[in-house]
Amino acid sequence: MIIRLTVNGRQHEVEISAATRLIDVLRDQLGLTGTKQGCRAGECGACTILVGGQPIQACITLASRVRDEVRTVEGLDDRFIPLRQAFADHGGFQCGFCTPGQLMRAAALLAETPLERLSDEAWLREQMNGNVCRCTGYCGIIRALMSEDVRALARDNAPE
Amino acid sequence: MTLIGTRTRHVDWQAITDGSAAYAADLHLQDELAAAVLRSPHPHARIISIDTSRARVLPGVHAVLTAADLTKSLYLDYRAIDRDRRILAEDVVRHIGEPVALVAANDAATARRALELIDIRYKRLPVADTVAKALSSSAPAIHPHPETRNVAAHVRRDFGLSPQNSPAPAHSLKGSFTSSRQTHATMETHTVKAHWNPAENCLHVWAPSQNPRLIQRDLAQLFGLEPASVRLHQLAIGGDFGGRTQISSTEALVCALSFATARPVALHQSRAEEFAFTKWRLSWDIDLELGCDAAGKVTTLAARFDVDNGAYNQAGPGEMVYGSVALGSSYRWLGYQAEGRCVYTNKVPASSFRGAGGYAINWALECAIDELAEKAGIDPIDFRLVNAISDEDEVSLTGWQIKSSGLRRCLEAVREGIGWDEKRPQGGKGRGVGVACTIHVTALSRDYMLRSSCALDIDRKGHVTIRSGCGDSGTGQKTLICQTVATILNVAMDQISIVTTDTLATPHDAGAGASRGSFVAVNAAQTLANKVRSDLSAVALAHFGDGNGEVEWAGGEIRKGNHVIALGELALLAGGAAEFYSMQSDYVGQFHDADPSGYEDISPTYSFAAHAVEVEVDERTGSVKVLKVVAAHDSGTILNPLSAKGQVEGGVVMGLGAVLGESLIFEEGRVVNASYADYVLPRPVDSPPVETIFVDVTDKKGPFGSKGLGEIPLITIGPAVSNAIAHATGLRLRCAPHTPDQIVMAARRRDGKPLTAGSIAARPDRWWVEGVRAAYPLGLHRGLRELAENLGGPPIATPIEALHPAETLDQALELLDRESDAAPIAGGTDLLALETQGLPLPGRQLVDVAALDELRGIEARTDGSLRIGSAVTLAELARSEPCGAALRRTAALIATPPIRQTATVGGNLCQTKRCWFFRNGFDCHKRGGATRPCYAVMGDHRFYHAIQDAHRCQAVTPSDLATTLIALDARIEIRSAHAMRHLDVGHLYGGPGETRLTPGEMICAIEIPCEALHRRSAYRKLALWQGAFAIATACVSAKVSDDALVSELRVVLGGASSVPQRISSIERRLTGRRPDSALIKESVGSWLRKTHPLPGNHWKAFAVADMLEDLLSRALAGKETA
Ligand code: FES
Ligand code: FES
Repeated sequence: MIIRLTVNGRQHEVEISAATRLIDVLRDQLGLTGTKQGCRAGECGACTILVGGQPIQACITLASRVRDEVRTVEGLDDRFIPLRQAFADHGGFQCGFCTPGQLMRAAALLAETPLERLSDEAWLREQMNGNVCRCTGYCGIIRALMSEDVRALARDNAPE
Repeated sequence: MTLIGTRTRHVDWQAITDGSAAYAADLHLQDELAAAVLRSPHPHARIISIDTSRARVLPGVHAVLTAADLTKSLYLDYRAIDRDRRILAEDVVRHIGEPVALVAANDAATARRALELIDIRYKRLPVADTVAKALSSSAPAIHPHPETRNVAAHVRRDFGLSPQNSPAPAHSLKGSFTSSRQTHATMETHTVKAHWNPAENCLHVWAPSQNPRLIQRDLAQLFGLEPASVRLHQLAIGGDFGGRTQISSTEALVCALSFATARPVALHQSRAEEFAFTKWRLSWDIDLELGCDAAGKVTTLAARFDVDNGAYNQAGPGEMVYGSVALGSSYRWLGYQAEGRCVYTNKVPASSFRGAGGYAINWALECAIDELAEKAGIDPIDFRLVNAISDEDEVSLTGWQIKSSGLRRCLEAVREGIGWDEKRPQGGKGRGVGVACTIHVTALSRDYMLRSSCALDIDRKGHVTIRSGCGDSGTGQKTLICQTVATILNVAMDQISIVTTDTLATPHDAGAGASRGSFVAVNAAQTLANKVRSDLSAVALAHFGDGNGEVEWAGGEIRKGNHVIALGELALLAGGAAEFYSMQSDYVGQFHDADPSGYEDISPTYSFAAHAVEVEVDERTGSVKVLKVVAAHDSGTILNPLSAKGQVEGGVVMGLGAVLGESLIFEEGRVVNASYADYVLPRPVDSPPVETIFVDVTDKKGPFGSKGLGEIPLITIGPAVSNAIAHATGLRLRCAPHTPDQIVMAARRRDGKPLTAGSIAARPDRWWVEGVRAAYPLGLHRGLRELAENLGGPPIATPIEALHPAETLDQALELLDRESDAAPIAGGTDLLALETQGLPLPGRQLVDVAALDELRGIEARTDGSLRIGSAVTLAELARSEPCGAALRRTAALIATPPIRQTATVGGNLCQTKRCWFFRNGFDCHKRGGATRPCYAVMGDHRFYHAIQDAHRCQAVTPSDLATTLIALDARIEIRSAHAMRHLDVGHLYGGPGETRLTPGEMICAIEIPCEALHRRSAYRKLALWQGAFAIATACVSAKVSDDALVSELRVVLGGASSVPQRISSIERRLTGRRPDSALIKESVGSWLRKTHPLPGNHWKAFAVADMLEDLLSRALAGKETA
């Protein structure tokens, strides 16, 4: 079947089967290889992207069921530069393989979280619990999310 | 300006955070073929015949290879004398997953289909899948060559006084330790691409590794090429941790296929293959005997150890040899003797892992030292201050010569950081603090480890391009090299770029491993930059016509007095005709050959660390919570505090994994927990904050005074945790990881409590089940397994065929009725996981019900009851006020936030069982049918199997919601195209994770009656990590009057038997009473006596009983309301 997908603001028509997963469309058909596959079973979060603003694991999402706009790490716009920089400045990654998933999960959080929540480390860890990182021990990721620059970003994009 | 010692961003930060960093799977080579590997299903068998003719003629297949088609060369691996590994098995397979044949085809599906067409006959050979079996007198010989059966290598050490000549110690300790079977679990699975291009006479390879030259070297020798004819290309590397520092078993497979097809070939391992078929950390069984005198000074150490090598030699013998020396090198022993064996077993080969041979021996020794200090009545920090090797210029009994040491300062720093003096006197009440320390090498002083070259080019704009052969897998060498060059040439970081890995563009580098990455690569960069600086300074002076003297380098310019020249211009001048300047420089450290006695100064310099941790231990459930970690390190000058801190934090958390949860579980040589769900690695919630302290030390040998750091954090944390648990509980655990079962049972043993829970005598109705279980070890298991093998493998699952959208519920029901093999899909989280795992789906014609209005929403009805649509997500449920705290909490503890966002109530109730044998490829009773055994009876059933009322299958129903819904008297509304019916949730299941729904039926809603919503309800869950599938769940729901009279009571357990059940015996005993703690205890005790656990899950029955008792007391008293 042929479906229409809007990804990072661009419309695409792609031919797929009923079993095709979103991650394969993104990576193999649209060449958006920023989204990573770590398990293909919904257990690691490496493939996290946004669909209609919600964080979704692309590896366990059937492509034909996607109606809303898809956003991948390639589509993180300039507003999110402080988030990316915070990951770099606080040790939020080492090998970088989990990073696109972490960033997308974080981007969703920033859009929906009241500011005071972002200083609650236990809550943040709970929210990030679906994203495995084998390198950093999570310390740097949590530091990045709790950094001033990221708070400022969240403040600017605070839910109305 | 110096950048050394400043926090410097990773040079690739932009690419890593915008998704453009290219890992192996992100490249697409033109005309790329997909590879598939036929792997041995047997742990030990002779190959009788292989017939590939049917596979070869399958359209789309380009090559089918077996050992007969390939070179007979052996892998080089680590030590020449140990070589025994081939690309494909020739006549004998020695472990499950050993590659036997290869296919290259147009696409992965065709390649897999071709594998099915290869006819191969095996004759099973006796199996030795454990060290004990491999060493027994009746063991089969796994390899023909070792002198002593199955002993791949043997080592003996004898330093200083022998025990006979040394004074009898005042205090002594004897103990046996077993380390865990950690696996690397890099987030990027092994992914390799290769292209043999005959015209170029070049084998192009894309293989992530922190040690590209070793991969190049091994591929060249395997295929008889000059190293220059093998080109590894630059790539982003998704983690290494020692797992890819030497060649694995994937690289050569792809190269062989490319030789056969002259096309690019790609191999991408699945996560399950990654867990099951790639190297893991060598596990050690270590016996130690050590002592100290009355003043607390250590005397002698004696050790015996066996290292589980798996079926082939990779790092095993070498790591054992290193460990045998390291064990005697950290304390001031008067004598040290050791004897060790590296033992072949029929398992996937174990090999190098961050920390190498230092990991297991340090864990065992630091636990033993702690215990010895306790025996001597000396504070463990003081004991280490007195006894550990820690003085500059001090030489260990084994010849290690200390160049610089901050160990004492590390110990003092953690003493203060953790609040030792205040917390240490208060141990034993479930909270405790522990400490451990480590000395670790910075490279080994061997030829191959200490050679690194570095080159750079400067163009006319003054841009510097560094070329280094290192492979930075996330540890930060690239950034360190750039910092080094930027500092010495005094140019800005953005004026520098770096090319790594590419073996054509870069000079030789020794790679990373043994904590040498920064040492060698930075040394090479430093040598190079100094050479460039003096070379170009001379050119500048000549250009200035100003004789000799000093020039000044600043901001990309070189000046002297009034003379100034831009770096780019100077490069042109010096480069002459080339129009750019190039320079290469070689660093060769001091090395020597190993001394057979083991006595030598083994490393250029040594790093030190001390860690202290605080833990909270719940002896009743066995859970350990790490509250705080203070990690103090002497790694000399810290070149980049940002990445150094990351190394410590990452190493600490990985080390926590190894000591508290991570371990591969093997059953008959096959990995049981081959998924992120089942392999317990640290997640954010369970990981503590880490306070990192670098003590100020400048080393004499290291570049800028620095020393290695990559491995030592992981080596140090484990024993600190074991020692903290001992402080908290008095339990000295000697087998890692310290999972809940160990803690519960050790505490019971300490207290003299019974070790068996229920007794079968109390359950005559279960005697037949017990009879079947008893027959398993007597031959039933084996018989069934062999029968199953003769019947062929499990049915091959087929993927989703169609997805039918539905606008209305009626339409959906209609579709479910009409299509054969139909099933609803809502969140799809379990369904797609099943498909990935190759398990049968509930249906292949899927009807999409996620968006149906009729199934959405939580409705509070006028009669006070609640109706929850089956497509309500777990996240919505967790937020819903009317559902009550117990149900909200149940939902909130399921899986992870992204799963809860998608997964639905109906899907949760209907999910397939989570038994790890069933999920991870075992051809079991439930997968292949009645002729198959249940692997849990004889296998590892500590966590996820029944403690009562199991039948032939020991699995349980995985739905946590079911537990709470039963306690809330919930009923399910079930519809089909023709009818509607209601069913109590308690009657939903006919077997483990098996519903009584008939084809065409679907759960539409859950109804909770008003009375239940007004009861006091509370819920608990036992799990190995927050978000894991439950070990067990419990929910209590009670109507309690103001004067504590219980008039209604539901007590429900999930995960304890094949289906979630009310425990009516407890309900009966407590209803109509005002239960006090004695009555509660008595009622739970009566339930416990009627459980009939498997041999390895009595602990679970105890933990559940304790959880229940606690939950009942608190819930009935109104103290726990969720
Ligand atoms: S790849 Fe999707 S969750 Fe792991
Ligand atoms: S940075 Fe390597 S897995 Fe997270």
